[in-house]
Amino acid sequence: MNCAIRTYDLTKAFRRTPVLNGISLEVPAGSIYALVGPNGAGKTTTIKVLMNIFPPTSGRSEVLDADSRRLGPRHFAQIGYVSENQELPDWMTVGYFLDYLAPFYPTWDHALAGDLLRQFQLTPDRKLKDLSRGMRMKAALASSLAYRPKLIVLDEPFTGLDALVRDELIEGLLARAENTTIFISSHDLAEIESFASHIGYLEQGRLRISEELETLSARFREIVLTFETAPELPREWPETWLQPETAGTVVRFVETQFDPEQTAANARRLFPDFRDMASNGMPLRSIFVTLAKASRDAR
Amino acid sequence: MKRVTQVFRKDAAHLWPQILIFLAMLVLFACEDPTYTSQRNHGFPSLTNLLYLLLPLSCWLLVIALVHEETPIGHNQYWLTRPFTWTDLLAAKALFLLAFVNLPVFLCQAAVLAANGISPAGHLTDLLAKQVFFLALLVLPVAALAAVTKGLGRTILGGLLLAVPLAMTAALLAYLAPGSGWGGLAWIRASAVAAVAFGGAVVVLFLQYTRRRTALSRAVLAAAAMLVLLLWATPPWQRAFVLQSWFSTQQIDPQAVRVSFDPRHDVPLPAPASNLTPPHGTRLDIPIQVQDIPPGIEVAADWTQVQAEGGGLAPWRSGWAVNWGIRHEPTGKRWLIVFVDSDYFDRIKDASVRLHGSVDLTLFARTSSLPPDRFADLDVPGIGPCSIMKLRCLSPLPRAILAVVSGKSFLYPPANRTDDYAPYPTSPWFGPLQEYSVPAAFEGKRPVTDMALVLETPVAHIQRSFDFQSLRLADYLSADN
Amino acid sequence: MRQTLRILRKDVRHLWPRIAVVVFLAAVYAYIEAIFPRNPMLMFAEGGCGLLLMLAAWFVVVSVIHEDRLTGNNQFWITRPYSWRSLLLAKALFILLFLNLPVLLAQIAGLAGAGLSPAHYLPKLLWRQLGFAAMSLAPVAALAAVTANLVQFAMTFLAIFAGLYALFLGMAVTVGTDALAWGSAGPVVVACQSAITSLFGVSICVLQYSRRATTAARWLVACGVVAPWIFATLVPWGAAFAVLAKRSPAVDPTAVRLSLDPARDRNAWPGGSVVRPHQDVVGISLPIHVTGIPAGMETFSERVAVTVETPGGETWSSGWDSLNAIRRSTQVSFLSKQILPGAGSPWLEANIDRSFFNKFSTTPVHLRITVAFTLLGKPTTTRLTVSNRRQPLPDDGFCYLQSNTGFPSPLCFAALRKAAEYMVRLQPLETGDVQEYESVESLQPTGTLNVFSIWERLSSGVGYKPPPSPYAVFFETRQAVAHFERVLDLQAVRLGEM
Repeated sequence: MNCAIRTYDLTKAFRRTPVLNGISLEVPAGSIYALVGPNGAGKTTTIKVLMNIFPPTSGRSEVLDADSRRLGPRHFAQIGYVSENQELPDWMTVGYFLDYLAPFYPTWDHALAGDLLRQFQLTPDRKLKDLSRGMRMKAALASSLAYRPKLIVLDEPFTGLDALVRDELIEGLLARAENTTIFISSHDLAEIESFASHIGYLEQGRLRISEELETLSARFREIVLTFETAPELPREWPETWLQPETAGTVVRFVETQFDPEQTAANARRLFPDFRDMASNGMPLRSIFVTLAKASRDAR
Repeated sequence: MKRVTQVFRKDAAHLWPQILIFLAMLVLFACEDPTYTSQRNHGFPSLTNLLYLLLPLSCWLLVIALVHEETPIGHNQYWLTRPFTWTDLLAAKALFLLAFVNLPVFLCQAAVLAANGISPAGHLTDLLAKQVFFLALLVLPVAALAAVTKGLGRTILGGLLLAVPLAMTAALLAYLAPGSGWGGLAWIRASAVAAVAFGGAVVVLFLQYTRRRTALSRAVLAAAAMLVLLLWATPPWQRAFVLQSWFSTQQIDPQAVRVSFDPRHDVPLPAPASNLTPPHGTRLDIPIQVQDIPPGIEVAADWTQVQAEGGGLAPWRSGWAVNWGIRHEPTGKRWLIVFVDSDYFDRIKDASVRLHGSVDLTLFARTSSLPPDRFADLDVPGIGPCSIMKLRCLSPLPRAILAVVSGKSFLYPPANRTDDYAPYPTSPWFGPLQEYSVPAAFEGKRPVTDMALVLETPVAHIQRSFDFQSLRLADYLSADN
Repeated sequence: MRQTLRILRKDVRHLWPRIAVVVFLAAVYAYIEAIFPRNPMLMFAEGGCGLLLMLAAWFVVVSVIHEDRLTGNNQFWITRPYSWRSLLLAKALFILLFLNLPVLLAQIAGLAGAGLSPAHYLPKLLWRQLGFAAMSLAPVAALAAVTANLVQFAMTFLAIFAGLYALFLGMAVTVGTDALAWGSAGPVVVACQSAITSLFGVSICVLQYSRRATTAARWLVACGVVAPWIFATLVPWGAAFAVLAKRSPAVDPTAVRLSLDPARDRNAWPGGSVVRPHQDVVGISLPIHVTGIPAGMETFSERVAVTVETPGGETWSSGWDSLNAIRRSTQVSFLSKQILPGAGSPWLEANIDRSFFNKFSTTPVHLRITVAFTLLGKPTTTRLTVSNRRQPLPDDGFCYLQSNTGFPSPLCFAALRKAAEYMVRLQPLETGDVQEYESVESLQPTGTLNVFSIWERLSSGVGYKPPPSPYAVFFETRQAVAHFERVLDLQAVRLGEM
């Protein structure tokens, strides 16, 4: 197995409302794959289909080399799933919750569970319903890491958490995830950027981008052309150049397939008299804002 | 097994308040069941009646809470993405039901029997049969309903939405077709109903725990409920009598017990109306002879079917009917009771009619005779402890019928012989005992030395045909119309 | 008011399926009540439907209260401009419109369908609605107001019931069940208990809605559960009977007089005394005359108080002991022996503390016996024939006379009216002993859960042993017309001779 998750033209509709439209992605084993996108894009639905909580309308998906529609206890013993919306047994204490789950996992490590409790500063005697939102997520994460799963799936784990708690969660996650594939959905692009290896961008149920983060960051550049006099934008405009704008003697646009030589050559071809060209790297947030705006404009 | 016990222990740890309340109600009920306690002087009969209602509610509360611990409804339950096998879950729930519902009920029932002088060991199969019906009719259907609803409120609403139309339809059917019960064979129908309820509930639970197909499960539940209702409303079904006949302990010569018309009899005196639900139609009392009855045997009619032909009209057929019977007076005269459609009767009453059909008979043999002690309590074989002073007996399942004779004739004839032939109890109720009336009163100065309590048991179930020619139906019009 | 209506509309919008169930059940119930006189075999359906309706009503009350839950701190409405008065009024209005009103309409429709005049019975129906609201809905609402969800409510309700029941069992064992049977004074106590219960219920609701003081409200619930029963045990029976007596018409002092019958052999009393468990008493019996019972009327002793004064000034009093009574020396059922006049001579039975008795058994003492009587009048007599046909009784009643294995068994009902006493008389047509079977409602309460029924059961439905010869069956009822006390003062009597 070199992919922990694969989907093949996955589609999901609720009654007559399409939510996922032909998603095909691959999550390499050992990677940290972040699925991002605006609200309502279909991230949670994708995850629930992968976890066999919803059946797909068409297409298929594989998780740990098993058809996701056949995911059962044997597979879940190797998968950790944490979701902001998951209903936990509120009446249980943290300690009882972990003790209760332990026998279900052949690889449960009690020492590790204890370490996680300490690391996350969780009191075993406290009831789950009495925990703050952040502590609840930590408890859920601890209960999903203690058996060293091969795959960890996290659905919006950082929503509503402060920076310190986020750091703690990420730190706890990464410390225990050496040979683990992590599949995470989130709005928090800044956090994701700091540790994700792969990125998938979902918009209106379609997967716009799915690639290594490094590659994505490398090919997206903000290009700034400086002119002597205010230029006019040419009628011919490359498809890979997005969000053009002029401000005085400067033209800005986003190059989505940056290549130092090719991009410069194309710029020279369209703007023969530019004086200077600067290419600036873009944070993930800016990349996705650009993509979202371009998509909206196209509609 | 470890996972099963893990879930079981977790459920017990969380549901102990519901368990305690159910056990408390069960114990209270066992102490207060008016079947065997003297409740006449009770200062608070309304509370006792309320206990009758709240005991099953507390049981259902426990069952619903158990299923909702891991509700199959919804998509956010933590256990959906945990390595729970559906067999682990179901097994844990089943173990919980056995330990905290069935077992306490069984022990309570055994204790009640023992407290009333009845050996629980001697009625072990009866107690176990009651557990099966209790599970099939009172526990599993509620568990199935809980599995297709989320939250106690929705479950109650679902229960009302199911129960109300079912109860209404059942009441309406009983009202429209009074006297259409199954008489002594009601246990067969009850067993079929229990089997359907059990099967339907199991299918629903299986569907929900393995596939969480809630819409399909709800459809199955509704279908099972409808099927239960249909079974309950089914008119007497002849194959049930064939099944009953397998329980006959005595072989009867096919030539014996023949039903023939007796032209010498007159119309009987008005008989006391025995219940408020007479069958529809015009009642005829046809004088008959039942010939070649084996010695020591009494005959009672279970179901009767009759067809009338003649008068130039199309034949009229009754279908199998219960509670028509054969009326038997102490003089030895008998009449076959038949209810004919009133319109048909009005048109045919003076014509010469052929009346033929079949009657399912049960033969009763006298098994023992006891001298009654006016003031003592007796342990009557096949029934249980009887109090002559209080005119009642207590029994898990009466397997005999009590009567009082003086010499050779009945002083107090037995209660309706054809009430119940059940080989096992079919009541799912918590109380293990039935109150059985002794049809006797030893008041006044009459000596008891010439009386005897006699026991009859059904020994054979046979069917006999009859064919009465050239009858003028108006001649046999019953005075009880 | 606007806010009240908004909240009401919101609740209706969300709870309409539950409302629909209640309305449907009420409609079914109305139909059953309307056809009941022609179809008494619907007795069980009527009872079952009534129970379902009551359960559904409780369910809806809890649902509407929990729509805007009062316990906890996370409800959205806490930080909204809700007026607690509007909220409480909205809930009350909901209960009135969708519980009280459908039930009332069902009862009215039932009466009309049965050919009776609803207007004639409207006051009684409205009084019943008040009782329903006070004794049933208000306590349920109060309990819902201090619980967070249906599970909690159900558990608490069952736990309270089990606790109360166990308490009563304990009382029955120690005090005796007869002491809990208040007889004709029962309704006085029940009315007071209802007032206490509803007062607590309303107070708890007001406290919760105005302050959300859940802890205090829960303590109030605990008090409200036990208070009515503490009241019942503390209030002397005599006081309750005095209230009854004060409200009943005055009785001619010459009516119903007690006197000793010195000519009767005091050892001729065939019965034994009735004692409570763990009671060390001696039973005495006095042959007495009870004269002056108005023609056509009957009377019975509710309770008897015996006071013994010795010449030395020592006194012993039984208080209003329910086991003390005037009974006839016949072999009829235990309870009907108390009805006078009747076959057999009356005896006054009383229990005296054993140690007092032993000390003063040969001493001439002053015996003061006070008997609380209920006079039964307004007799109605109807001859019944054994058949499956409805036979009318006076005042919108009806009877069916069945025969269970030859034992005639009258099943009789009346609209919103109970009989204080009924008698079934089996009278041989030619010669033979008349057999009379009497039952007094207050001495043998039936206790029904069907609070909605417009058809009160007049007879128990048991079968009676018939005479050997052809006989006629008569059904008689009487109402309680007066309650009063009579005193029998005996000077210089020796207890040992009794």
